[in-house]
Amino acid sequence: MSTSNASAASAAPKAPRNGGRRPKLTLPVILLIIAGGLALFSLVRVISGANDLTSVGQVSGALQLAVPIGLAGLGGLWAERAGVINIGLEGMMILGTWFGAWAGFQWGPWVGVLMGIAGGALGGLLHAVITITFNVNHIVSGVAVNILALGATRYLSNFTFAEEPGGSSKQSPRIDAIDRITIPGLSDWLADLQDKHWFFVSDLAGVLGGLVTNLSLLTVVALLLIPVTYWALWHTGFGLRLRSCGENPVAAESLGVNVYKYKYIAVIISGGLAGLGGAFLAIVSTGIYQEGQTGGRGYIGLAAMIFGNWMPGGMALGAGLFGFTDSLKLRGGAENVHAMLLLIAILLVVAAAW
Amino acid sequence: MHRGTVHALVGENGAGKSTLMKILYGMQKPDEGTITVDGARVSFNSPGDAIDRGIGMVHQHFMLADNLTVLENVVLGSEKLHGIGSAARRKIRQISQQYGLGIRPDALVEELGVADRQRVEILKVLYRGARILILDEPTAVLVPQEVDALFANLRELKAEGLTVIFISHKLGEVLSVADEITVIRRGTTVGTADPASTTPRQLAELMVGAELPTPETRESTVTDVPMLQVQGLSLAESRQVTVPETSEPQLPTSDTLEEPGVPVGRMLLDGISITIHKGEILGIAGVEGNGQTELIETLMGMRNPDTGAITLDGVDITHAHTRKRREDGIGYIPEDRHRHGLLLESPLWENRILGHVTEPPNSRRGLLDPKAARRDTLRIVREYDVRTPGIDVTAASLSGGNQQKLIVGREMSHHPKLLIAAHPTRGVDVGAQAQIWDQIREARREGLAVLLISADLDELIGLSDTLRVMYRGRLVADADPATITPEELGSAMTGAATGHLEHPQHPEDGEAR
Repeated sequence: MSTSNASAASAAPKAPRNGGRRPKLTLPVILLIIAGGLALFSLVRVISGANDLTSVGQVSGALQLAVPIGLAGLGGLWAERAGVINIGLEGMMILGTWFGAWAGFQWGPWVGVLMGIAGGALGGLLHAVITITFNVNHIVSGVAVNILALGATRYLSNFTFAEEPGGSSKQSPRIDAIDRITIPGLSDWLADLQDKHWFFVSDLAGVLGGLVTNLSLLTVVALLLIPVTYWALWHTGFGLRLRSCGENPVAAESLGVNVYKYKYIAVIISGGLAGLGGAFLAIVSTGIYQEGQTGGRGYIGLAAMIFGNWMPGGMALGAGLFGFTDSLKLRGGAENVHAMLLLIAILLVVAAAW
Repeated sequence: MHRGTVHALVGENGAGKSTLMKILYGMQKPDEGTITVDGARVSFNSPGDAIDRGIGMVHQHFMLADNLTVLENVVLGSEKLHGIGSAARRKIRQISQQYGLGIRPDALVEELGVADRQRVEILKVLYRGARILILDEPTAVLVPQEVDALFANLRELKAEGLTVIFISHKLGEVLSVADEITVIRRGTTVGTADPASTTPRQLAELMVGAELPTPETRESTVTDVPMLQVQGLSLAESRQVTVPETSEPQLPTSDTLEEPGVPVGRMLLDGISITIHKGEILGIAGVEGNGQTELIETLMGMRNPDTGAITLDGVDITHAHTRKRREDGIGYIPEDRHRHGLLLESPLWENRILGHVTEPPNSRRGLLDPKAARRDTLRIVREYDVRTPGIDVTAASLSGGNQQKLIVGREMSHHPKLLIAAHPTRGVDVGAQAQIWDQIREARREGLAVLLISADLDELIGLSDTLRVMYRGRLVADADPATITPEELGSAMTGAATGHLEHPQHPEDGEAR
């Protein structure tokens, strides 16, 4: 371990200097970066006294806020890898929230999840028909899908939710919750450890605790989709064909790949993932459909994907970052923001000293 | 055509060779007529059908995805053969070794030179176990030694009962490798020829109804006024070549074969010094990927040299912008006309403006003047015999040779002081070739300095006043085009000979090193 750490440490400072090509991230390097980041957070927490910065609740909240963004980002990843820009993610998410809630309050949350996916996929199919078959500009089509989804759900709410007890034209009745899991002994022990506010140890406990406490089953599914996407796109023939349609469709066609088919599949999956993100918002995050619930998370998901350099791992990191800052804002307010300012100041000093 | 033969297809640009091949490969559908394979009448709806029938194609313009690795490009579409993992990688190494292609399966295609990409294309076809190979101008990018190696491979394939359809503009090659020849002109078959009893001249006459041109420049027009001076130009590779760590331990032989010495941060250009005088054509020979592209890009201002100075007509332009260099009189015929020379989706007259936006007749007092540009485009189309239905069609709809004629016309219209011509006749038929040569020669008589980079050694020797050989970023040898032969030049290009190459007193490796 010590040797691998040493080599990682010597490789890390060199990496940014060779410019151009991205350095290969190996497992030790990644672990080292995570440990370094956590230590920095810990330092900031100890100095500023903002103990909520890495608490179990904070991390758990961040995860819950990151999941819809991550699912939208994953959707964007599928579409963009096949060469279709999907700015309509926001609209597909809206469809996901509405369909998820509509099926969810009547037939239970899991049916809601499936209908949310179907709703998003419907939006994806529309986007696919417009862009792939009719060759319309991707941005124009995406914006159209967004507007259409907003209008359609508003219209549908009037004679579905409005007529139900507990619902109105702007929100649905309450949906049954999906089971949440907490690992019994481990979760309590980590929470205790976190409460001691020790340097580094408590922070590590807080982060791990946040990942095993009060975890919705749908969150687990969403997290699993990230490695599944990576595997499907980079380790199967299907994924290779799909990516080749994005890289060089003419070459793909010359090798007998049905480019249209793969683009359709990719955009429909993209919509389905965004729809799942929407369903998560309605069913897990709030337990209710509200108009305007997505709040631009589709766009932020797209940003997270670009932040992650069109790779699932990087995208997850970006979504986590957005989720974390969201959670900070919701829970701590001013105190947390001050702590974050301190963190940014330290990072700037480090960057300048480099 | 018959099993176990090499069947050559020759014809002018735009004669319909590529279209015929696209129909054979299922990329386009015929309006009428039938195709018969092994006695069975077939119709191909997609390239997939053609592949199933054992037809594989190496395209003239490479069909590779830059951002994917060699491995991914090869297995794409045939994932069922050997998967997409280590079994496929082993198979690729094996084919690569069997035919001496020297391909690293985990390299990104983006990082490969043109010659390497070509070899990836050939490997792609072999990987699929094709029974009928269509090669669309496979030799345009290879040096004579490599062409010989390729032909040896083709004969091997032929011996195993495979059929090769071979398209080329180089008639000498066609005659040496083909068993049967079909000549196409303006969309119809005009004749067949037996290579044993046909001379290149007869074949060329059949093709264009004209005499076979030669690239020779007869009288010397070299003056002693230097136009371009380059002093000690160096450029180091800026990006790190990462060796993929996933590759399993491999045989030592394949190791030396497949990693042809690519040290990290190697010198792309190393102390290049050249002087081109007014009225001189300086030819640079070299296997592709030995720094020619980088040299051109540095001269054009697309890359910044680490050390060295560039002087054009007495003015230092080492750090000038590309725009300034072009306005100062550097004309540029790029290596890859699709990437650098043209906007394929734009009409011809817009392409005529491209690169000369600030110069008359394209602009007047800082504003574009489309009317004058269109007029001038019509003139270029007429004078340079660009075969096109009009100047409002997109550049993509022209055949390769006509695109090139448009580029040559555009660059020549601004009376450059220095012309950088990279493969000016690549993929161009004999008729257009002669025209381009004539234009370069004529401009040279009027005092144009030309830097000529070409893979066609006959062209280099015939056209140049001075010859240099580039190898691994350095100018390693010079030669007198009046006496050198393509074979001698070819061996110097592989690094076997350095210094001044003389003929015929010394064998070329006698004075090497």
